[in-house]
Amino acid sequence: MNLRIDFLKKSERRYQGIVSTKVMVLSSIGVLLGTSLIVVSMAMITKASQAASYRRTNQEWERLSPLAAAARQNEAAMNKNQKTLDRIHAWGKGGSAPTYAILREVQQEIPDQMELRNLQAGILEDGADEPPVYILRLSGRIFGEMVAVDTKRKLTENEVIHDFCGNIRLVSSGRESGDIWTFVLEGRRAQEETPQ
Amino acid sequence: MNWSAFTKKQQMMVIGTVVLAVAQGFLLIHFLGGNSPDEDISEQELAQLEEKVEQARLMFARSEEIKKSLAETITELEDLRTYVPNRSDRYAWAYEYVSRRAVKTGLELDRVDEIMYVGDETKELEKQVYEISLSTQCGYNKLVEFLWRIESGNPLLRVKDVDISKSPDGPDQQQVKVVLQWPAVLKIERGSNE
Repeated sequence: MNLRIDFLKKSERRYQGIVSTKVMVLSSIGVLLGTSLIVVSMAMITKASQAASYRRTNQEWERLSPLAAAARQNEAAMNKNQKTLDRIHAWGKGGSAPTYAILREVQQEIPDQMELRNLQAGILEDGADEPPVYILRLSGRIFGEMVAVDTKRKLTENEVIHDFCGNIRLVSSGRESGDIWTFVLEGRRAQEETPQ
Repeated sequence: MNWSAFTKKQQMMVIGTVVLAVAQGFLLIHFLGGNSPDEDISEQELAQLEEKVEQARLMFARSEEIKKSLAETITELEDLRTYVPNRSDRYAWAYEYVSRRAVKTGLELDRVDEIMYVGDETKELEKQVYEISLSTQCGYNKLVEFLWRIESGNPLLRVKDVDISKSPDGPDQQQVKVVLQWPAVLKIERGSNE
């Protein structure tokens, strides 16, 4: 029977290797403390730089915001004015010739065999939501059955009249006596509608 | 490694090391991970603020161009405003405009009436119009000349309706009714004073 007696205290023990356990533990603590310090300082630097950046951006915002608000206000005013101008230009002539020119063109297309009883040219506005309708309406008497049809064709072929009220239609025709006929010709075009 | 082989002091050191390692782990997660709700908000706020500043900068960069365009629209509208009936005495303004041109044409006006519609006041200001109707008896050519004079003298005038009927007085004379319109107001936006 072998008996082994260890007379060394625990603190007096020595181990094989480059460094002792105590050195390893102390260096680990040192490394941990060091890295913790680095992490905390990095975080603090990041925070400080973020705060500085926020302050700088905020100052820039305080300087720029009234100027930008004024520019925005001017842009809104400019857009409103432009809208008014567009509306006024569309309202004035509606993309077609003035009325005096329409009447002159109608006069040129009316044949000698036609006697006008009524001529109406203008704009019909039925409702606030409906676009205005340009209308030309002629009624009267003609000598000869086909005169109204020929006149309708001539009026439709006339560019100025067509731009104003679109195609002219013969909406009514009837014999008054013998070769004398009554007629109604009409053209209508909504303002948005592009003449074909 | 045998735990019992460590002295009490060494054991405390090991425990301390483990605690420090855990604490460092938390610190890493806290500062570098950015998971704290407070930090999220401030980063988000900074990003939003930077975006707002960028937009303001872009708007400011266009401010001179906008000012110039605004001034152009104001000038154009001010020039057109002279063609809108004067609000304080619209009928007299329109009557004078029409009568002067009728005299120049050699045409006698029988009536000039202001037209009012029920509910006009409730319409949007921009959609309100001022209307007058006039009636006369004249030849077709005179009517065309009269319309030419009034339409070419005012770019904002619109002939709403012309109604020409045969007159009992003879083939050279027609009964004519004309309705004329103007925009009631021409609102001009002037933008910021700055």
